[in-house]
Amino acid sequence: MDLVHDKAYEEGMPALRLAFTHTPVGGKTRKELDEYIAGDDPVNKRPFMQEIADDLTRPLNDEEKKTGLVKREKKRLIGPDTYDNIQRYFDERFWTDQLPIIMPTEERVAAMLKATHHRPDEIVGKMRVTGEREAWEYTVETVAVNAVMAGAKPEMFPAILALAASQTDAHSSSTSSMAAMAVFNGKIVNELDLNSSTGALGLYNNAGALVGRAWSLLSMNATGGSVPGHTYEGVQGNPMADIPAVFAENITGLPPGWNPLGVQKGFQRDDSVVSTFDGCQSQNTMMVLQDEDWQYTLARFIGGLGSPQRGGKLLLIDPSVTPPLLRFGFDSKEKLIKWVKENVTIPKNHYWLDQEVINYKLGPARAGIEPYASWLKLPGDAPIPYLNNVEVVVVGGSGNIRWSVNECAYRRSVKVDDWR
Amino acid sequence: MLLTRLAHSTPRDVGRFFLFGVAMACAGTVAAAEQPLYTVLNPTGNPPPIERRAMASRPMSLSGKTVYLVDETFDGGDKFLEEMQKWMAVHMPDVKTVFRAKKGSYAADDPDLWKEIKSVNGLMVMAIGH
Repeated sequence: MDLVHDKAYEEGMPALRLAFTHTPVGGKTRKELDEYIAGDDPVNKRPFMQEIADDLTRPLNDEEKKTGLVKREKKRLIGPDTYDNIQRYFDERFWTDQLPIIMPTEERVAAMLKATHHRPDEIVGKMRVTGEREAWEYTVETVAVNAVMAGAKPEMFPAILALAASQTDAHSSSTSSMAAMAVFNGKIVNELDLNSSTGALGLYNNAGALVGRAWSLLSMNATGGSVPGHTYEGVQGNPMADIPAVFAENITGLPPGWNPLGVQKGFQRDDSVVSTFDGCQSQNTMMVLQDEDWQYTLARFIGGLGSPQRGGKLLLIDPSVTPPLLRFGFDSKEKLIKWVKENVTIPKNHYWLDQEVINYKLGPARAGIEPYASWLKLPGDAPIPYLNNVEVVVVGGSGNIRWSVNECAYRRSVKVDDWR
Repeated sequence: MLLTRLAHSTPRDVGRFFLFGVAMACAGTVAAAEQPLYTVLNPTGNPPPIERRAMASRPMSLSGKTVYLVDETFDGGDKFLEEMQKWMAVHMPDVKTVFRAKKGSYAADDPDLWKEIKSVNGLMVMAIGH
């Protein structure tokens, strides 16, 4: 309810007439839906259909006739007050991750800003909590404030600015409770001592944790907020979203012919680059593939993760897993990616029965947008190769032959050096 | 709480409570004075301005009107609107209803549909799923 009122306000229609039905609607029988329709609006407490008729015919009041521009100002400085009171003020507004922050005083923010040649008032980018909500802008100073809050050090600031410049939201408001990841390549890895080995995806690295927390706080604050019921709707939440995984690719573990992710995205080997992934909802892990059935197992391992509506997968491969993959003919990341896209499929009938596919792809298919329009016309058991965003990163400490596929979609790569 | 206690106490107790309350207030003031005070920067981004839009004018009644029931293809909204259409056929027989699925994804614009609705001076109920 709060969400729809907020959205109406953002669209300039705070007086939009809204009627509510019971939820959920999806999955209900026709008889149950009839009961919703014949019953009362659970929010406005009026007979639902009478309310619809009234909303369509009642004359407009003065509020509903209003036009004009509404500017929303904010205070730059907050305080003076005690640490506890400011912490509570920030927590109540969900400007924090509900954990203690470092007070972003002018002195601390100024120290952070010295780590970049960019001006404090320069716009770094825009982000929105979902694709349908309004986009908020943020400056270099705003990024610095959140970096200080996270406890990040000034030498980490260019990496944090690069993440901000990627405009990848680490805290999507989707009801599917998504998270994000970031992978670093190049000189920045050694400068910040980012982990590419044992525990790399966890909190076993000071720089990764602090850069991740700064990205998380910025994503909450610079996008319009992360307030449950308003600007955060994740039904269950996501433990991977508390602090996004920020790590380095294991360059020494790359087999011959496998390029670092930064190079794959067009940068030089020594360039400091961050690549972002979002939409992360789940992870599947396994051990080594066997020669006798690797095609079946690889397709099942990757295809069994998540809805076929989501075409993004990130394969995080420990160096110990690469020898069998080379034996199977994958002497480059590109060959492995190509195989996955061609061989991880779902029969057409099952694809179009997936609720997420119906929500997001049926409309475009009916509008003639490819490839969905053609997929709608396929025979019932025709395989649909639904993966269109597959990346491979080598990471891990080779303590055992383990690797994972993550339901994450690659977004973009940004050169950290541009933000020094 | 201090005022409540005073109301239910003897004069001697009132004095004890009063002194205790003053002592506590002084201790709190000293404690607050010892804590450093911070002025901090606002961590939020900058929202865009909002252009307010007036709502569409309403007819006096729905009798003889055409109401479009528009589905945005999300979470069973089509079935809900189909049932609404059946309800209206029985209970509002003088209202014509037209069911349409909006083109594109749920958030996509459909100017052809809006043009069609306007061409018949129609009204619209859209089922917005989430």
